[in-house]
Amino acid sequence: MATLCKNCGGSLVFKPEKNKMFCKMCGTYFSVSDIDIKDREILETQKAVSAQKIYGSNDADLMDCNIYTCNHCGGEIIINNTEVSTYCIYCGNPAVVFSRVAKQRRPEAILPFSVSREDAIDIMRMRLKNAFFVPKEIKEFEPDAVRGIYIPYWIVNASHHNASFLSGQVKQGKNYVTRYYERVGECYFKNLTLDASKALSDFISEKLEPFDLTALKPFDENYLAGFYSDMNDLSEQEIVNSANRRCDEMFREEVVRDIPASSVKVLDSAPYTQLNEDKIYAMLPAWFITIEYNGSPLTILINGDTGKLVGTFPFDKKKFITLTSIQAVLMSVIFIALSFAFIKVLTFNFSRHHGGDLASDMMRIFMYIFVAVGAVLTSVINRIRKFRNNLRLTMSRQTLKYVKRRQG
Amino acid sequence: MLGNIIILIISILLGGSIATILALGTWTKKLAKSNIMGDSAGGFDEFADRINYYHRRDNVGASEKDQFIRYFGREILREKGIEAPDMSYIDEEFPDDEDIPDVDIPLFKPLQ
Repeated sequence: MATLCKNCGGSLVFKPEKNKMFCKMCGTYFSVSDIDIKDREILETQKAVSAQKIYGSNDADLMDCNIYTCNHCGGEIIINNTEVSTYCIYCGNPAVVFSRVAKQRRPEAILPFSVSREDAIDIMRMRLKNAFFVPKEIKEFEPDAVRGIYIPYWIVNASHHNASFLSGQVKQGKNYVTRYYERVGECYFKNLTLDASKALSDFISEKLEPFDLTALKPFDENYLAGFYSDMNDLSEQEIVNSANRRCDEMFREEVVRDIPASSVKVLDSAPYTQLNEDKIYAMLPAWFITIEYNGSPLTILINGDTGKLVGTFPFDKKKFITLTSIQAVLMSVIFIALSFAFIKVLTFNFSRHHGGDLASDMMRIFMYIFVAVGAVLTSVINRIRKFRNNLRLTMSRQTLKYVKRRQG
Repeated sequence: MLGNIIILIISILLGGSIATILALGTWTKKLAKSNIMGDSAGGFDEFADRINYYHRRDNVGASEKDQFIRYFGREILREKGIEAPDMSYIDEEFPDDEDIPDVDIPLFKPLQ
């Protein structure tokens, strides 16, 4: 249901920039604590009707939805099972469905939006302005949709036990040899944030971190007004699994520092995580901005608390190829001349059967250059792979669906 | 003469490759900096203080891995009275577009 203005009865929405509720009709601001939630019973939860019955379709892909009534215009709204806050499609009223929250576990805390919709768009424009390889069409974007969504998170404290088997390279004489290591240890993770919505990829939600958890407030439905939100849909075991995966990743990241070798890798690990009982179910804010480029959708996320932007953009191929080619051609002149001289001297020394030391020194220099260029090539491949993976994440249909399901 | 031509061809291939790789190194670095935004998640230092190690062994054999993982993974916990549940990870390869069914029909629809 929508929270109504005491003065005129208009619907109230939460304004992050003022940290207050705002009446769109009369322009009055109210502090969140001043608003009573007294009209919950108006929103009577009606019998859940299956999507099949509503749409008259046998499509097995349709989801079962629940029906709620907008207390502003009387329209009936069908809402996804895991959704708790949405707009009424008929009157645009921010209809916050409290009865759904009450039926499921109510969040204990909420981190209100502190970045407004306009701020989010400005942040994106500013970042794009300085992005050298982002195409002009993207820089001058017109957002198709900007949606503020409260993402459900579990904030947990956990004891973690891990046994890791590692390998590393150690110098022995002139060569490097592989050595193996065993490490077993325990550590304690505090305030670990775990995305509790299966519909949103953890790969994306993890990048939204960090959130300022000191600014968490006790959950109040009024903060939801004007935004969308999801509910936790993870089972207890899935929360433990999710925590275990995160803790294992971070343990692996840390344990390599304890190994006296280079190029250290964790070959295998046996993680075990035990969650404390004090876990908090909280709603954390994010803006989802959808733009279109060459017919493909891009979904950019902005942390609604810190303004951190998460997204990877397609690049201006013409610009990239031109600049790379120019530099390659200019450098080629130098490297071809050097290579020619190098090979000439080398063949001269071999043909004269003298200067063996010089030849071996030159071969050694050649090996160093070869290794250095190999390292650069490896980093190029890794960067391209990372770029491609991140771009796939930004263009992911899953993320787009997560946002598009919230038809406002 | 022929020798010089062969050396020149080799030099062009070698020098050209090195130059191309170095140029790619420069511009892919700039590309990543320019177009990948917010590619970081919270790390160990943000959530934990330090690891208390109670077993360290260096220069072990590669073949000891399975035995080590088996012993310290489950059996050591069992000795401590902890029965570790099956911690198989959530299968979340991205993009996992199949997880969510297409919803072409809007979720909002007036009832008759």
